[in-house]
Amino acid sequence: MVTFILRRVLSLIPVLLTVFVVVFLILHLAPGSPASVMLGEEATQEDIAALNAELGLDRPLVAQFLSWSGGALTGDLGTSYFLGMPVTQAIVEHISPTFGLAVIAEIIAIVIAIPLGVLAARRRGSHTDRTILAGSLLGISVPSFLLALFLLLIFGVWLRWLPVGGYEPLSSGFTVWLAYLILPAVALAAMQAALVTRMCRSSMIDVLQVEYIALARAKGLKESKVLFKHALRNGFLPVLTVLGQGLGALITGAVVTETIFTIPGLGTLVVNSIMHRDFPVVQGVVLFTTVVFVLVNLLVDILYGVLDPRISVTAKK
Amino acid sequence: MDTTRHSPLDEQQLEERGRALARRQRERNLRRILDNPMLMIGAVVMVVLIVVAVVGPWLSPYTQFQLQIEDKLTGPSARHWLGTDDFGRDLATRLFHGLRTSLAIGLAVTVLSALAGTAIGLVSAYFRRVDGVLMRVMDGLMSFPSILLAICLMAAFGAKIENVIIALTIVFIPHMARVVRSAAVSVNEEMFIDAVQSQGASSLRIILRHVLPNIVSPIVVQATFIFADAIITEASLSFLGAGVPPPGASLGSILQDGKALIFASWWIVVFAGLITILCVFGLNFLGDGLRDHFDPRSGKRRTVAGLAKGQILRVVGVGGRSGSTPPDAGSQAETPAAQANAEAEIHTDVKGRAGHGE
Repeated sequence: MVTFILRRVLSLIPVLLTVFVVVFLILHLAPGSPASVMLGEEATQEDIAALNAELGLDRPLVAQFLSWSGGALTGDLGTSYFLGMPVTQAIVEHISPTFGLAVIAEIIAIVIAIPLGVLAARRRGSHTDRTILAGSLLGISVPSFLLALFLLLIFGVWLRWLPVGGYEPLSSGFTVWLAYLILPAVALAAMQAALVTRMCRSSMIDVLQVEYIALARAKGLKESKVLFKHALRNGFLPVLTVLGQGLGALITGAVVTETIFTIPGLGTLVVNSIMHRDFPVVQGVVLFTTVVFVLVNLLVDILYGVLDPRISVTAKK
Repeated sequence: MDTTRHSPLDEQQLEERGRALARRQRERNLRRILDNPMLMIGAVVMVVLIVVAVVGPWLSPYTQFQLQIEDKLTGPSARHWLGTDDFGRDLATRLFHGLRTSLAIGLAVTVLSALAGTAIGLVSAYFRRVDGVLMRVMDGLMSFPSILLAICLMAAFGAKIENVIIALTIVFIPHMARVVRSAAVSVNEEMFIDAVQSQGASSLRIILRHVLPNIVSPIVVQATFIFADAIITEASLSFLGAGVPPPGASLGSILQDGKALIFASWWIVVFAGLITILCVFGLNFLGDGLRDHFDPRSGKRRTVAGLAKGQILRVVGVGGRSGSTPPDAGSQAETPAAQANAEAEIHTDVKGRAGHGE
């Protein structure tokens, strides 16, 4: 069991390393240093060079990379060029909207998808099933930022039920907080819900075929108990995988959706920082996001192994 | 070689039978294509869109940049079927041009990333020594959400349309490379490869002449999904302002304008959005249809239950391009069925319970 976990953890290191290196390289090899962006077009070469030296940008790339990674491992991600604060602080300040958004989106997705998936599996081949499948296909196909735009149009502009953009922290009241986040959350959740519905449905179909379900029914168990206590429990694992992987999708979707709804979260932060060539922030946020994502997947993998011991025991190639 | 002498009549009969057989085979294939609803819908939609993109700007009485300030911000009307924007430009014309740009960029990105990705995948599958390194790099690139990677690259290169193509190509190469590698690896394990190798064929020849022709179908399917993905990613890029610079317009930049004007004019967002969705739908249907066409088993597999022990359970899910895990952080929400259909095949023993195999 422990070896299983250890092996999964170790396999992540090369991936993380590649991510570090790639981010670093892209930003640093770009023409136009932060110094020239910061000083504007009027700056002379000497000024740019001086600022570059001050920021430590004239050191060899390897040295810069090592010092940055070293700092990162101890929690120091450097200081933002533009925001005038440590990167870590910038991340902390921007994380709650994104986190709130992700949580609401996941909850919506789960609440919609699992019952629908179970229903579709139970009534396989019927009209209900086909409608649900068609709906999920729609959810998968519509890009979330377009969905976000349409939701904005309908609920924000035409109906005026919900605010068009901005953000209020949870401390201002739950309804207010929710009002600002619900539209983007739905936009993000749609794709997730669609995928989870399909996964749940196919997983449940497989499980429902199995003999012990027939036995449970023969025993006279109520159908709902059969479905939820026996079938869903066993069919849940693939669903868990999809949920975990969906987190990555949420993070990506959040970038554009946050911009559409003007939510001051990590997505907006990173987009603005990229435009401003604010290397430390970009590196920090990308690193942070990737680590979170990788950890979540690790957790899902481990949970998978825990919930079904056969997986951890089976030799993995 | 058959040395029996055939009379001329027999030869003729044989030829005719051969031709009839070939014709029936072609008809069967055509029937299969026509009976494939996803494929047909996708193909029709895409053909229509391409025709509109090519012919539209030509047919329109307006030009893309024609300003008619007195008409600005009018909704759909007889003069302007889809309305105008805040400069008085005809929206329909702008959309035709935008569609052209988006499709052209998408096509370029697809072709380039397919070429490069296929090359990398083939090399990786054939030369095991570089496989590890190459795939780690690909995994690393795929760990990024594609939007972020694209924005980073655009910030690095500068805002020009060529750079959009380059950046997006880089983003999508790993997707193709993974699929190609996966497919090529299974071909490489076939016996005929050993046979050809023992005959002394060079590696290049083997790869190009023997491996490549056998993996054409997954390449085509994946390319279709990459096209859809590219359109969405380019639209997102331009929407954020990091894509096609003005005065050029792509669907994304029109959407950006629309968003800014959303209180004054709903039609910009709605029509630009609808066209984009249509594009994406068309391509996804096409990809699904093509995949079903090339591998009919996958259609049936979806409703099969009770897998035999160790049998492949096809997971329709996000990310996990075929091949190995680690799951990539690059699972994009922006990708519609492309993701769902880049099926990850997970071998599990979990379903080993059922007695009946399939």
